[in-house]
Amino acid sequence: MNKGAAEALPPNFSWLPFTSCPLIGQSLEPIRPFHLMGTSNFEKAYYTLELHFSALVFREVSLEKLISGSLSEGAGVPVDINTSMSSLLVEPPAAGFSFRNTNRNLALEAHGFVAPKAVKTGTTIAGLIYKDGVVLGADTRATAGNIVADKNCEKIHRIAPRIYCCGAGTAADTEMTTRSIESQIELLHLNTGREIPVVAANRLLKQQLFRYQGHIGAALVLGGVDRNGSHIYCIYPHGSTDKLPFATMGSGSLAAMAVMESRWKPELELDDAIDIMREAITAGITNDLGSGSNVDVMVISKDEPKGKLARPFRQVGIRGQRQGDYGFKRGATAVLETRVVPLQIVDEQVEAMET
Amino acid sequence: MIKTTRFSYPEVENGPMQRHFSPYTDNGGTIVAIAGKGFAVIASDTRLSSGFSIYTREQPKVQQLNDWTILGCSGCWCDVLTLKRLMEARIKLYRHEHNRAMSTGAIAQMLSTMLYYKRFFPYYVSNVLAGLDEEGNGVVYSYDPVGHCEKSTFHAGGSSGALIQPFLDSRVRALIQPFLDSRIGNKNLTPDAIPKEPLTLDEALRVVKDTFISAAERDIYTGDGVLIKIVTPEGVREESFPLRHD
Amino acid sequence: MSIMAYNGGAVVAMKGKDCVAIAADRRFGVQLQTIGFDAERIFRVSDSLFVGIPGLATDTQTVHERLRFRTNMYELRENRKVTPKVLSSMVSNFLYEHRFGPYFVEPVVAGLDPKTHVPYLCAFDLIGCPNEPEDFVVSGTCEEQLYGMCESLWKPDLSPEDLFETISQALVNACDRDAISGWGAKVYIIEKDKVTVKSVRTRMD
Repeated sequence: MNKGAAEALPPNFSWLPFTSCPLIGQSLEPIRPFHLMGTSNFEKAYYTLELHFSALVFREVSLEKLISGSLSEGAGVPVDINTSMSSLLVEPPAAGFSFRNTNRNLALEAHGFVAPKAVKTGTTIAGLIYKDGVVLGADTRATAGNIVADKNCEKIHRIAPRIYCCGAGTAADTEMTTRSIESQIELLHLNTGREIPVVAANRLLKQQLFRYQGHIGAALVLGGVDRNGSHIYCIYPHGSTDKLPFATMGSGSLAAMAVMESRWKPELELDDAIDIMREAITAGITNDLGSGSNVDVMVISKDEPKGKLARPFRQVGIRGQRQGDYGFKRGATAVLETRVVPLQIVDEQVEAMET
Repeated sequence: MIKTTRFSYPEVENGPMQRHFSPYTDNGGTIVAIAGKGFAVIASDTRLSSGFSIYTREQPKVQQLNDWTILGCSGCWCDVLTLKRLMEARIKLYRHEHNRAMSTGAIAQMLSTMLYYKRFFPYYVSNVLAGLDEEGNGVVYSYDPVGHCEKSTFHAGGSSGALIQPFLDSRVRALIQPFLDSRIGNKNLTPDAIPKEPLTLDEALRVVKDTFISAAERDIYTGDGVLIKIVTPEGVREESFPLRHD
Repeated sequence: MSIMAYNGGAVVAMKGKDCVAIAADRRFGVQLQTIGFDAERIFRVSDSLFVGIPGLATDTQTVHERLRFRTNMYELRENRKVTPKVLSSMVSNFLYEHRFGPYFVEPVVAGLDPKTHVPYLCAFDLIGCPNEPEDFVVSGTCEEQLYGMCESLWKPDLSPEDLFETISQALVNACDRDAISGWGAKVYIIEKDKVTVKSVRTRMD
């Protein structure tokens, strides 16, 4: 109780806005500035809190001190923190993760309730360098256990116009991590006015993954072209990276690597490079149960301003032709009650907008 | 000062030490069987796999036991092989002792006994037995790994059992027993929508093929191909067709 | 036992021609004991936009409330309607925010775009990985059974009437092979000028 909550922050999360702090989440929420709305000295309290909030984050002041300080500034504010809970409670723009449920979920697990598994992309992904750039490839299957959750998912993510990243592992992690780095690279680009090199994307990705010590389950093949040439990086979930002329990842990486090792050579022509990539991913799709459906291929050339995606580049798993017709007669299902909610279509004028 | 050496026996002092042995593996595979008037159809996919890798794309899991009985089993493949070998031996013994082939019902009962005999170290196998009864009509028996046996007219077992069974419920029972108060499929249809004509062999074959096509879409352990065995009073014939192999 | 199967329940959604349908069972239970058959798992977000939230019942309700808050705030701040795509990235971001302490739900978003009336479907895993297929999505305790049913029954360009029969039969027959789903079902057929809500007769065991 007497220990300043700020001191209890784990080092990794100290930079996060306060709702994301795992140990102070519940108690701090009710004193968010918006709760003070409607009280006479709201502004004073608000500014005190805002002024000193960075001190809390940088551990220069304890939580209790900050609260009591702000409350005494805005005289008349109820001291009971709970009573300041208001229906105007605004969720702050969330940055970083919320650990609100972590303790509950650990308790549930301790009671023997198995935590469910997230969708994984079993995956075959690969990247290789050819004469004028890089070629990236991926399959399109996402699995949840032994079930195919998505037959045609996109595993080649955009980082910048000429940097793309293939993702394997926990599907949400690869999606969100690449998206977050995409936006950081874009901001960097806007700040500097230069094309951001591939090595910068690699560093941002590995630092993000290292910070979370492998808990973000993303295994990536990063590829791109910049003023220094063509680059392929392999990034592992714990944050280690390799810089390679050709790379494969995911559960089908061995099948794909077999093709790569036997056929890759320096200074490949584009057609040969695409051919090798197609065969490598196809090897993963046919021989690895975690990979399937189609081959997606992305070509990033030093002579083009943008990478070119072929999706699907090749369809490997094709659905069989259904023989029977299994439609039902209308009225086959017994209905107990029907309610129709008409929707009013308000006359709208649609003006096309360049997007 | 006398120094005594104290030996330590952790096994005795801390209770028995546990060693882990996992004798089972799941090699996947799906079996579907449908019985009708004068025929029985039983089919399996031909993929044998473990984890994320495929052992072979050409391993059917249906086995002909005599002129009118077919056994389909999937699960732990070494158990499947052993069980099949033992069954074949006992069917041969029966033939030599009684000078006649076993009926489907007798084989069904024998399989149940054989499975229960291994109650505390079971065969990790999902069994479906299909064939013709003494009147020449189709019959299907399905089992759990320790010998519970249920006589029915259709069943889906193995890795895609859960995907296929509800579809068979909605399609097959409605066709086979239109006038019985069947417990699953028909209850979900209004009386007018229940098909009145009995299930034909062609219809059953279509349903079997389509269930495998659907299962191969979503189950990673089902694929590569299907082998269908069709039992009629005239004998047993085979049909096969390819499935997606990714 | 998985915590996702503590209360039971399933949701399925399908695309048709200019329409989309979403359906759920109505059972509310605690493990194998059935407590009620008036559970709501499908919630209306705007006129022709729905979200189905199967999973742990307490989280179904919490997630619904939090999404309601966020969609309301969006509409107030931006002065425009939530479109299916917006809702789906909202759900995705919301779930991923709780990556290291997830809500035990696997939501499904189904609806028509308010302007173009193009059908839209999206399913998520419990940490917000979106899945936007062209045919159908399933979620909940009888997911496998639903996959099998939908893969066999679904075909493109179903009319609203045929879509209703297809989705109802898929759900009902799938639930019959799952001990902790069923006990009634509710089907929403979403068209551009109306939403039809039907209660389907099912086995009550």
